Amino acid sequence: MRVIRIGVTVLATVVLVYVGGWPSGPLPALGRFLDPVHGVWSVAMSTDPPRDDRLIVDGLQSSVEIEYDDRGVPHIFATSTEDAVWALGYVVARDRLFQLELQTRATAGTLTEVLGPDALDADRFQRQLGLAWSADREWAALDRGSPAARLVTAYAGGVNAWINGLAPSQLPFEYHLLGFEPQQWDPVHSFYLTRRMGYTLTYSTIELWRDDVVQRVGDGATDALFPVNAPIQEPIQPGGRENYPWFDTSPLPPPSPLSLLSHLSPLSPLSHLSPLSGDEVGRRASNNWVVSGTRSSTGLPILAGDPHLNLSLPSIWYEVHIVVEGELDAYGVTIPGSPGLLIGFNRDVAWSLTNVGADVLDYYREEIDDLAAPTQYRLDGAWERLERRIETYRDPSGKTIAVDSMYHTHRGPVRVVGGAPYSLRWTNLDGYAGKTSMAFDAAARATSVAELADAFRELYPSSQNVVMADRHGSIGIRSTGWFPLRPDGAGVRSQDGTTRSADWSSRWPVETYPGAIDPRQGYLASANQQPLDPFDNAAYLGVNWPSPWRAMRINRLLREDSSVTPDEMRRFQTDPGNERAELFVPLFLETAREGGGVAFDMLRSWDRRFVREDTVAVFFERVMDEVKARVWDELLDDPSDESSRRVATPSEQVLWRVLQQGDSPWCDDRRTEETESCAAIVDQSVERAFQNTVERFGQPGAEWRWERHRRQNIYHLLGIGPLSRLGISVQGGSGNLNPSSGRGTHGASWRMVVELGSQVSAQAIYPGGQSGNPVSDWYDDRIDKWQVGELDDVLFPESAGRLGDRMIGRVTLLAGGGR
Amino acid sequence: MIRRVMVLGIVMAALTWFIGWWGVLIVSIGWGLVAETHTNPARTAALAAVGAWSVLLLLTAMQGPVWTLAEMLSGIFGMPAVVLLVVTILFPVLLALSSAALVGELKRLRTT
Repeated sequence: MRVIRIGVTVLATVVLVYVGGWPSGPLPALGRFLDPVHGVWSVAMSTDPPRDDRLIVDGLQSSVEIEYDDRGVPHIFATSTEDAVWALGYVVARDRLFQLELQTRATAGTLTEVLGPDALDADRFQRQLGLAWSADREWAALDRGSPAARLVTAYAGGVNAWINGLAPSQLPFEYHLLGFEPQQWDPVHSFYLTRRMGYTLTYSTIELWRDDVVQRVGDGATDALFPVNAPIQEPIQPGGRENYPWFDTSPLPPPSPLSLLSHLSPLSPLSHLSPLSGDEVGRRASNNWVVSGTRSSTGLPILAGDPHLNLSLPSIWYEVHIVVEGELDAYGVTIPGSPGLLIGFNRDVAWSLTNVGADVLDYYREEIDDLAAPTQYRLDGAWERLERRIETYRDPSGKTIAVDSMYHTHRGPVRVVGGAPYSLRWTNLDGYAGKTSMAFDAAARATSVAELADAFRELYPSSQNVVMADRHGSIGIRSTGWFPLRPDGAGVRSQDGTTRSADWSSRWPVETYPGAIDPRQGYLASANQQPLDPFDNAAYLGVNWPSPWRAMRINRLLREDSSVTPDEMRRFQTDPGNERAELFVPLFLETAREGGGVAFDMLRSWDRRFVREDTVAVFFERVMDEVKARVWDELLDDPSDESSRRVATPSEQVLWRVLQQGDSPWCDDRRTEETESCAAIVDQSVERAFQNTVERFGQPGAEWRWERHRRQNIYHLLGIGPLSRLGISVQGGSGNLNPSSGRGTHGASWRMVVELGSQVSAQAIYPGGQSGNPVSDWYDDRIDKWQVGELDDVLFPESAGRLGDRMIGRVTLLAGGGR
Repeated sequence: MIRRVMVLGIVMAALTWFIGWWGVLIVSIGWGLVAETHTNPARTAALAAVGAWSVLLLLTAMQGPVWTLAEMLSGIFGMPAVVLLVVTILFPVLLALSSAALVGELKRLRTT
């Protein structure tokens, strides 16, 4: 009996100590996790900004005052730039430590070390791209005394000061859940972030999957489906034609006859590349626009910023005000990890960004000596040595779970795609992160549009359209980036890697970049459309541009309103008008048979506004899907199987070009005997879409309301449901200024309206909140206002102590001497 | 008995505060070693653990939204929030009970 009792107590104690001290399956180590003082419950104690802390810290030259307003925004008052950036690192780490860690690990390809082997594929992909590898090389070569190095070093000092002084209750929730400790922040991690943004905004695989399209429709047709020049022009640089938008109504070259396509393979080796259509590429989208005083109600320039990115909780953005006595007084948003403001304003200027979508990446077909054990690649008739790096992946216990060899040519990393080796030449892997930090630093200090334009001259890795305004009344826009000049002029196809003559020769002269300062029209706008009308400048900048629906809309709104108010600028950001519907619906109605039936009647009476209570938009979207399925049958992976997916989908502006032609051969379904016209295709599509919608949602009525179908989903960084805000109905849809499509995980990530005068007046919001703590009141407090298109008034005090009763917390950082 | 539980609970709470959940194990083993076997040290340790972690949890709840956190965690782990709170108290109780009882049994084994 005693033996049994001893056995039971031994077993119980051992089991409890084990589950208490070590993770078991999906469960964290329960002892640490449940501990009311050090475990997950303690997270509840750190939900608010600090009430009134005074801390002595090493690394500052002199004291820094940080005041938190009631929106959770820190206002940093420092006496030197380095101190201000140090404090920025400190406040960002305080609110977003896990986000800093996760994005760094995602870029470095070290997620397996905290998430386990499930993350191995993602890590392998990132390491293959070489983002962290190239950032490490840039950092190693950078003079530590250079301004860029000093900025990121100061930032790292602030982040690490927070990490090293962490109380258990200040450890973010996710660390408790996953059971690991924060790693120290290395200055190079700021460069990782720059590479990550470059990846998000410029990575493309079109040159690889383009061959799949060529196999199906021929080379000429492929060029027309994924064109270098958009068939609808509404450029960001005011163009030389008489009227915009301008439409290319010339016929699209026909697909090659089936008999000519001898080597069509139903299952392409490249199909795993998940090609994006031009419009899907455009989901990495954004809007910005500006009106001069001649077109505003107050006579002052007004600027609107509206970048669209993947939405997450916490948000990608962090709002902050940075003041350096006599040097700098700027407000805006930073991305955790960046030592400065990316979008924002100061007392003199305001700026915002959209993605250019320029082609800054080329694939080169390489000849390798031995694919199984590569050592050399062929170049100009000789064998050149491949650079090799070894990548080791570890699990959370530190055990090695995989080792890869990665290879580089002089152009960049080698990827094997479909059994063929390609090397990657990509501006994002060049050493420009330091310049990027300095560009944003200079922008925050600019006092005029001219100075802003100059500040952004060397903003390279993720090419951006910068819209600008100053309080003297000047407005401007400029594309930035490193736009390569190629020997064959364009980078549409993969290049021959066996010769140096295929290498990039240099880049566009900055003077020729798209842009305009103080145009006669009195306003400027960009929304990821082709920046330059080829009528004015036919030089190759990119390919497969997203349809310019948002650009057309904002330009229409600005053309029609010569007395814009800041509130109108705000309303434009969620304007329900949709140029895509304005273009396609009349086209559909033109082709309708006599009368056309109830389905056509619905389209005829539709106001084409994507408001939440609308009941036609859901049907219209199904019509669009049906039309695409019929017109692009040539692009099916397996033409004999209707359920097979398309190898690629042209943008909707190309679809419009086909349909308006009426008898385009693209409308013919090549799988049938008869020859279908575009009218027949539209007829069938409208009828089929109506039937489908009725079958799915019943007769037109409440179930067809747009708000029941189009929802935004803002996921937590780890995709944890209870920490996410899902199913948020919004005004807008595909092609709207407030775009919402697909899974609803992409959208307006920061909205800002700034009026510049003797006093700066600014409003802004983002979908989320300042805190990364899911039980903080500042975790998702802004979502409800964001959902309905409202903005918060921004507090922009000139000195410390002026927040009045809007101040809810304060931290005084006292210089402790050590650096 | 009540006094013993209270004193033990305070020590357990203090040790948890300073070194974490291992404090429960250390105090329980220590108590098992010093307490007379006929006083049922395992029960005393278990009651002390209930008191210690309940008070610590209460102190935490006074400084932040513990219930909101519990509801959030319940969504993640797929169990009611109240169960999570119960588990939080049950874990140190079982640990204290088993470890103090184990020491008691070993002591008895040695004396016989």
